[in-house]
Amino acid sequence: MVTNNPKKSKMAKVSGEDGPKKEKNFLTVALGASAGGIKALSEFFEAMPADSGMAFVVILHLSQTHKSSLAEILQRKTKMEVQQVSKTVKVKPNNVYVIPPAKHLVMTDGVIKLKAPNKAKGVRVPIDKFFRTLAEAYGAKAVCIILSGTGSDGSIGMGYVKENGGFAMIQDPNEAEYDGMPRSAIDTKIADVVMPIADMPEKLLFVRDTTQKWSLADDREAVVSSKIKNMDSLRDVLTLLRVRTGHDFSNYKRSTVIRRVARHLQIHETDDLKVYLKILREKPEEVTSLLNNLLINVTNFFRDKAAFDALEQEVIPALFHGKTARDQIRVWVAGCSTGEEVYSLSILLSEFAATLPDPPKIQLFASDVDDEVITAAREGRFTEAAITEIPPQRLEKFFVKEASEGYRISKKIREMVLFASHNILRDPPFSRLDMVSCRNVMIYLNRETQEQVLKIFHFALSAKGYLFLGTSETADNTPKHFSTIDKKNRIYQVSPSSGNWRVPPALPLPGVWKPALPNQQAEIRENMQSYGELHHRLIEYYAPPSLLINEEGDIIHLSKSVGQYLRFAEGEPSSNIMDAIHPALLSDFRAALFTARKEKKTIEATNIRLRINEVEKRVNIIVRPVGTPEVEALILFEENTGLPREEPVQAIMAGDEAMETVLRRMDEELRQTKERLRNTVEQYETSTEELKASNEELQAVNEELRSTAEELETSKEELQSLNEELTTVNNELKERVDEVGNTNSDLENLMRSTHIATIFLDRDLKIKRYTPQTTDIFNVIKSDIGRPLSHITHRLSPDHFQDDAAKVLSSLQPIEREVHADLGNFYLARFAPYRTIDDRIDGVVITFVDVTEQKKASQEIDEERAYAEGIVATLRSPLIILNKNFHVVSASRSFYTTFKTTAEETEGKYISEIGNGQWNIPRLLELLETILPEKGEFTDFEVEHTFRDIGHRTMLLDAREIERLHDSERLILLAIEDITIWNKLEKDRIQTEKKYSTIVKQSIAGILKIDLSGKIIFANTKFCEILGYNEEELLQKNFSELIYEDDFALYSKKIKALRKNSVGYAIEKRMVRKDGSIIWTSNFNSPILNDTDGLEAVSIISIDISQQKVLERQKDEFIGVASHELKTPLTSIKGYTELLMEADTEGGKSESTPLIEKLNTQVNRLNKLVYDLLDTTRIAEGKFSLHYSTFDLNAFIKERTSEIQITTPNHKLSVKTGKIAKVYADIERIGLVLSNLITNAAKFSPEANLVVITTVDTKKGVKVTVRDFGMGLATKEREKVFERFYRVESSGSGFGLGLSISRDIINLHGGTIGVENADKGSLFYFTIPYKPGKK
Amino acid sequence: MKRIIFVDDDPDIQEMFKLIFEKAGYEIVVFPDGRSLLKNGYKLPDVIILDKQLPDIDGIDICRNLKCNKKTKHIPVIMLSANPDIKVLAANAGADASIEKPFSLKELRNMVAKYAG
Repeated sequence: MVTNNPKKSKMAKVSGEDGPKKEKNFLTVALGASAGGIKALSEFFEAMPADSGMAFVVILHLSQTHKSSLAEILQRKTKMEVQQVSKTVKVKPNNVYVIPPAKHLVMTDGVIKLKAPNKAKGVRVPIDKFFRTLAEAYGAKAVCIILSGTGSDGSIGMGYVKENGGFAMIQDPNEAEYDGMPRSAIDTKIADVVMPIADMPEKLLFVRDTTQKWSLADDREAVVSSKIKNMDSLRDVLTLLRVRTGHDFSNYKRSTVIRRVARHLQIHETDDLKVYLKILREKPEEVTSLLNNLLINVTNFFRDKAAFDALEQEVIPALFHGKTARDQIRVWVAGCSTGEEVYSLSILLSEFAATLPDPPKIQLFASDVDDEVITAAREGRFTEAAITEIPPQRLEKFFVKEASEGYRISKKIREMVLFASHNILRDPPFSRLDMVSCRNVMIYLNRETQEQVLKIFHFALSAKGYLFLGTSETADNTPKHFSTIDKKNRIYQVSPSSGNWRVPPALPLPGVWKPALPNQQAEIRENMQSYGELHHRLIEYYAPPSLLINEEGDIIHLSKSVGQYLRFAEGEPSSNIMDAIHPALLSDFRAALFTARKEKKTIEATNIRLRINEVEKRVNIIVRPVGTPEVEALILFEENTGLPREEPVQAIMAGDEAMETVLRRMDEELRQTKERLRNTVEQYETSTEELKASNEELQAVNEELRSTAEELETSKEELQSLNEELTTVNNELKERVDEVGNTNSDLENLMRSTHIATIFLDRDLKIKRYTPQTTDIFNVIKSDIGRPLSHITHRLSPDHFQDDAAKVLSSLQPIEREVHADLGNFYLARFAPYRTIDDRIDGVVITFVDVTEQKKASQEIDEERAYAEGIVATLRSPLIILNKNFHVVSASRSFYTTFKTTAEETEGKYISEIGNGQWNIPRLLELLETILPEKGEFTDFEVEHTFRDIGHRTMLLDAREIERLHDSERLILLAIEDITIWNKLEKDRIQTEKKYSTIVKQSIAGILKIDLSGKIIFANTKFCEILGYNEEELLQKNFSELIYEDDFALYSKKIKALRKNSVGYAIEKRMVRKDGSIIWTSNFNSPILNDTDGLEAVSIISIDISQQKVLERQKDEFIGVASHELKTPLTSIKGYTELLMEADTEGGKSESTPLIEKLNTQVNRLNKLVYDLLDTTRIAEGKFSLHYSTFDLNAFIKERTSEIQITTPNHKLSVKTGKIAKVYADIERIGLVLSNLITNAAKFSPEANLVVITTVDTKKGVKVTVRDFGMGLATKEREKVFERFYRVESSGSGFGLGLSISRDIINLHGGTIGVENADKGSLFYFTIPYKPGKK
Repeated sequence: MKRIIFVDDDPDIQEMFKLIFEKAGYEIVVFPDGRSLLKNGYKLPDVIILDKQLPDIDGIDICRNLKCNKKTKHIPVIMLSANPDIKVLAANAGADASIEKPFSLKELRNMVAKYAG
């Protein structure tokens, strides 16, 4: 022991650490109750501490159809969490699990599962069911408690709990409201304790502690025994048991015995076996209790496999031996319990039968004293746990998997078995059996009873019938009757030599004896008027005594004085002639009656000696068959009054002769006796057969009655359970009513105290109820209840209440709407459907929550948020918001654009994972993780990093933690400034500065920089040169000092505009040199802006244009000459020429007329030349502007062409107009182009006489073509024809400005002009758009 | 008799206008420069023909002046100039019409007839 200890304790430790086992290492207490159970349960949970470390499962007979509020009721009584099991749930300590209605609970491996009960059949036994599964799953850690209730549910389940080593408690039936269930459980005699509920918690805690302490849940013997004091007293306990009860448990499994004894130590709350031994000695009832506990046994399929194997091999074939289809094999299973044994046997039998070609019919009888188990056995349903012993092939063949769970025995097997509620000791046995199986029944019986039972079995069995007993039972004490076949497996056979003891034991016969009182009847009938009857009666005085019997031999009528031949024996009186006739007459009478029946004629039995009242008489009995249905025979008793035929005196008188006579008489007597004997034997055999037949009939009747009784029992049980349900429902309803009362007052108070205006409407939108607060909004008074809502005025708008309420009723979707009251308050009106407890819609509930404050606050918040978001969105530098784990919460728009990523790629990701890890910058992470928590922010942290999408960047990072008032999670604001470009620019700038400073210095343009006051801050060499100052001198000056006074106003106007608009401008102005001379400069002044886009300085690029100005002035002067000095005399010339022509015309044609006309033509030509020259100059100067108008080009061309036709008489000008829209153009200039082209065409085709002008629509504009039929132009000429001052060689005259001006005009219109060679001649064309583009 | 005031410094053109319009039955009063026109009181004409380029004052300014004066603003003014932009300049100064030099007599006659009525 000592050497083994460390190892064992180690093992124990290992198993103790084992997860699931440890988890399950608490007691699970199942409480079963029915009627009156709620009170009992409430009482229990009130008393039970909430931290017991045990799990509780409550199984109550609940109504099948009603919702149960048991869980809520119990929750009020305990601090443990109470839950109604609605799905598979894991059992945890300090929790209470309650059965739901119409379901069963089963326990498997730490979880409670729901199962649908089989409604179709039988009595509901949810408690048994759960206890059983609990026992199988939890063994010694299961505790069952049976509380108040009717019926017997729980008793069987308790057996399983006990058999598996659990603990069983029963409520004291005297205390229980309904004592059915407790008493039934007590009757099993296996419960551990019966006590008031108030004492249970304490007991439970003791059981909990000791179960753990003694490791009762552990299978190993040593572990258990080592914890109990004085373990060596166990032998004394067992000895005491043997002496007192005759049961020897010394061969029992020791651990089982210890565990069961330990339970009794728990009952008596001691941990010392010696103490218990003392109790055992002093209290005889404790011995019984312990014995019962030790004997608990529950049946199982193929229990004791070895025994069944032996049975299969040795007995079953023998049973079938010599039987054919006409025969029957009859087997009786006494004490069948829930049927496993009998089904096991049926399986074996049918298996063997299947191997035979001609199998006999198999009939099994199964009986048990317990109706409940019979009911269960009849159902033939078995849980998974129950069928584990069955090999799969048998399972498949003989069981049907149930839809829900578990298995059901196949119909074929089920039909082989007839179940009956039957007590071996009380009820007549079955007969002619081939085998009786009675296992684990006799162990409960004392020795004498065992013998009695064995005798009954012996009677019931046919010759060579087999007896099959349980492993701890024996038939050895009746060796005469049974011989041993297999001692180990307890198989016995009826001894062949025991035939003489085959009398059925006291078998109470049915039927009630009715006393026959013919004399009294006769007296009563004295007044009868029938002469026939009177005659008969009178005759009776003279006739010999007689009686009438029926076919059964019952006396149905007696004559006077026949009584002397009849005699009633002690015991139950019988009217049967066989019982009633004088014993001395019996044998002769029987023979006579037999013969008479047989031969159907009158038979006389003569000379029968008889002593009546000490007088010897001789009597003849005449049996006369009557043959009517009621009366079988008339029996006459004739007193032989004549001399006796035998003369005894003669025998004395004569010697030999007398001897001979005596011998003869004796021979005669012997012959008669033999005859009678033969008759008697025949008669006996016949009646035996008859008895057998009637016995079978009786059995059949018996079986029928039994099955009827079964049905009645079932109905009774159903009624009982219904009754229970009703009681339960009633109790629940009572609780419910109280609860409703409380709820109602709660509701009243709530309504009164709530500050939320609430209106309840019914389905017709009439007011059902409202809170006082409602009156602030609605003008509602008490009497308005029942009025439609629409009748009530209110102070709210908008008014959609009626519609909204109706909508909620139809859609069942709640509506929320904000409304405002006339005092400026805002309310959140919420319309919700009114749902009754059974989820029916019965109206609408409208609540008005004053949200004025919230609304204001929310508006403020919205504004704040919009403000903040606006700032973030506007920021150019990218911004990321991180949470405390550096996951991106959001990022600014500029972040996505700068780093070419999207919100999807960014939000929610860890900082270093953004954009495929491009932000995986160790230094940054380090900063975020270390510096930030310390300082809360960092700024201007410069990071250089190469990004995937945008390349190498230098960035300036600022980070800051945001304090959040309500939200505990801190956020980090990370601002990123991409300074790559600035860095680069800085470098570039330095370079550029170097590069350009030279350029600036050496520039041919003066370059100057002035500040806003006009002070010169930079001037390059050229500028110094322009003004004749040196640099130092200039830097002392204000720019405005240098401007010539006449131009100063213009300058200051322009510079003001620049300051205002920051837009550069060009200006030509005069400046004063150091030597006082004035020069013209052309300047471009542009703003220099600072970082904030403010104007910082002005740069001026200045060129000395004095020379240019001189040239310009000269040109202007030239144009002045051209336009005025030339045109003015031309005007006079032209005017006078025309006047001359007029005067000439007035006086009729003269010689001078052609001369004047030539003069006019040349004047006009000169005029045109001046025009062209002016236009050319103006175009070159950019002073040429178009005067747009909208006109009909076709009409215009026709008009102008007809004018030109006058001056070109040699050519016919043909106009072909296309369909074109109106054009927007300078009509005069287009006219000029047109006449240029036409006159050109005419001029260059002197040999032809036709010019064709066409207009074509080009969608965008108009194409105008002018075609001549001259010699055409060479390619070289076509290229140059539009050049200024170009003249076609062949032409004789003109400056060559016309086409150049035309080109410029068309270009200014945004059109094109060109020439192409046609078949013959040239084709000039131009296009102008309908709407000119900007030029 | 319709009255025309013609302002131009060129004596040849002055003579030509007299020839044209007296023959056509107009009374034509000629002023050689702007100052003389503005200084001297004159009987209001039916039309004023005003040359742009005058020795003292720009004809455009004279026109503007006339059109600002209550007494004279209803009198049609026809501007006369060698400047090709006269059309725009005249219109801007409020003149009723303009003729670019050189012009045809037909054009001049039609114009005067239109404004003198």
